[in-house]
Order: sequence, then structure tokens, then C-alpha cells
Amino acid sequence: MKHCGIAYVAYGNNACREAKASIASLRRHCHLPVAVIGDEPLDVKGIIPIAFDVPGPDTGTRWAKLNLDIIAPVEWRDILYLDADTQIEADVSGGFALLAGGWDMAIGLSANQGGEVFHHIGTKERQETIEELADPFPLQLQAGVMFFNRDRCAKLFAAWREEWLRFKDQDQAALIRALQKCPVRVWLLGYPWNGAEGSIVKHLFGRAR
Amino acid sequence: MAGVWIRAITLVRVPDETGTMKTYQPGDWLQVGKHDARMLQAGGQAEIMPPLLRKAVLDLDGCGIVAWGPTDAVKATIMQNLPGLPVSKLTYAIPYARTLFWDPGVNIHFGLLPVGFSRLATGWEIAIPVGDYNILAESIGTDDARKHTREVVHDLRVPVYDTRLVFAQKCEAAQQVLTQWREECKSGDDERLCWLRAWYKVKPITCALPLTWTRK
Repeated sequence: MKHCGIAYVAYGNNACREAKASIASLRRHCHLPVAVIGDEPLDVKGIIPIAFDVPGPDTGTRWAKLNLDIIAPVEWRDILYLDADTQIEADVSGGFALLAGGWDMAIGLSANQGGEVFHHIGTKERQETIEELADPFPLQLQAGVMFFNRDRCAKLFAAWREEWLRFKDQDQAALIRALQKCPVRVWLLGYPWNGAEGSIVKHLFGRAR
Repeated sequence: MAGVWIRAITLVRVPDETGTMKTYQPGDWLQVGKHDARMLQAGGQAEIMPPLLRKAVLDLDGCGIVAWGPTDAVKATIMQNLPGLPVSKLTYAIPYARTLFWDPGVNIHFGLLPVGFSRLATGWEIAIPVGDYNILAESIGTDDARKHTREVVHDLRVPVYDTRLVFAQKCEAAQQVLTQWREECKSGDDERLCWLRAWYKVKPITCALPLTWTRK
């Protein structure tokens, strides 16, 4: 676990409040280093603040997340990204073990599949994504909790940024398009790892605000 | 059948070569005559695909199917739905450049099969559907099988895969995972847990497909 770390992105008061609560829950189960990327240092003891200029509070948050492979502390090899509105309920070290075992990324499924896939994405992006994937209901991943190896996923992140810049909206559809361009070894996690009732990571999806 | 490749937008019912009406789901690819293609497109039921996408998805050169079941029945089904694709009897050696291992007991959208093959042309070594979003490895199989699987993959709070539909590129990793899976299946454990163990050990670059591929 020497080269492992956990990263949050928090811009603005709401996100900072959520991140503080999430880090407090994380600390009950895990003592790995934590970095928070944001516009001002978070008032939490022991975290690594990372300043990163972004174009705006909403889209900017995603842009910071998509640059994690570049801006995370240089000594980190394996990274867990957590959305600020998550609550950690159990030990998350199993995800890092997957990366150490050779998987490039470990990520959960979105609860929105089938007819609900990409429902929160703009119409144009949704249509173009479905068109490019040639599948009307592609598998949607939930990138609010993801473990990744920064070196082995560097090309994927570059492709993710490129895809995100096409529409500058949410990041899930851009991730799926990027994966088609730069496939990596993805280990799928179940809902306990990232779900509204997750027993390892409970994702509040904004409910903390 | 020579014709125009279209993709269904809504449910589409068209007759096959024998005159039997067939139903296609949204997203399915099908071949129809020019007139029908134009009519379906005008009615908003289907779209004629742009040439580049069509080429990427419908390039079936080097593709074939291995039947996990009676070969004749699979051949007949394939002849109806994707004529021209070779079908082999059960083997774990990947025979074609891009091979679909198919258990005909599973419902599939034939219209999506070309998409599955196309995934293997873009860097994925395996493409396989998730079994069920809510069924985790910790809830299937016997205690011993789960214990054995946990020893390999460490955490069973993960989805399992539907091993009745496996797209495999002819490459070392895909071949290894199939060979390893066969080996794991000798334990008599649930095949999905066996797949998870084999998959973890080999780690092929895998495109997970949604449930819609196996459920109509």
C-alpha cells in the first residue's frame, strides 16, 4: 500500500462540506494518504491539498477528475477516486489489491442501465455515443468510485479528456467512448462498492446537501 | 441475402426469406431490400447506417461461431439470421480470428452479434455480458465453491458473467482464459464462479456487455 492514495475533488462550499464528511467516514476504515483537489485547502488535518485551476465550478470539477492521472501526488501509483458525496462504510483496501494483482481499473456499474442508460446526459451526446458504440443500451459505469493504476490508465485518461472536451458535460458517456478507444483491464465491482445502499461505499448522490 | 443493412429504432417486423415474420428489437441490425429499407426509414422504424459505421460493425471477415449445443440447430439458426458465418462444433481452441462461443439455450439479439464481433476488432480480447446486475458472486454456488473463488479473487461482492455468450479474439490471453475456465470447471463448481477465477488469473482485456444482450 506504499504507493496508494485516495483522491477527492471538491470545489465550492457544498462539495467541501461533503468531502469533509466523506473523509471522516473513510478515516474509520483506512489510513492511506488523502488528497483533495479544489480551489481552496480543505480544513481537514493531514490531507494533501492540490490547487488546480478549472474553468467553472460544475464542469471544472469533472475536468479536475479527468486530470487525476496527472495532478495526483507523484508518488502515488494506485489511486482511488471518491466522489465527495460518498460515505465509506468498510475497508476499501480490496480495490487496491485488485490493482496490485494486475487489473488496470476497478469500477462499479451504474444503477441506470437499459432504457435509463445515459438518461442524465445531453441528447446530442447520448445519441452520438450510442451511434458510435452501435449499441442502443451500452453498459454504463459509475465513475464516482474508481480504483485505477495511473501508468496503465494514462492513455485511457488522455482519451477520456479528449472525449469529454467534445461536449463538456457529464463524464460517464465520455468514459465509455474512451474505453472503446483505449481498452484496459477493467474489473467490475458490484453495487456494495458503489451504490445508494452500498455496504462498502454508500453513494449519497447529492443527498448529503 | 443481399440487401441494405439497417438498424431497428423501434420494434420492426419483416418477413425472412421463407416468408415467416420476424421481430427485431431496437438496436438490432438486419438486412432488407432497398424498398423496405427506405420505407422503414421514412416511417422512423429503422435507420440506414452511415457507411463508415456499417463497415466497422459489419465487417465479419474472419468471424465464426462455436456452438455449445447441437451444431445443426445452431447452423440453421445462424443461416436464418447471419448467413455466411461458419459454425464449428464444441471446442475450446479458438478457431476463428473472432469467435463467438454460443450456448443456444441463451436468448440473444442476433442483430447485436455483429457489434460483438466489432468489439474484438478494437482491442478487446474478450466480450461477455454481465449475468445480472444484482446477483453477486457471493450469492451463488456452494460454500466450497465460494470459498475457493474468494481465495483467488479476494472479494465476491462483484457481478458474475453470462458464460453462455463469449466473444473471443484469437489471441494468447483469450485462449488462456478459455483453457483455464475449462480447467476450473472440472471442479464441478458453478461455471460462473469458475469463469471469475479463470478470468482473474489470466486477466484478458474484457469488454463487459449489458444484460440487454441476453434478455429480450
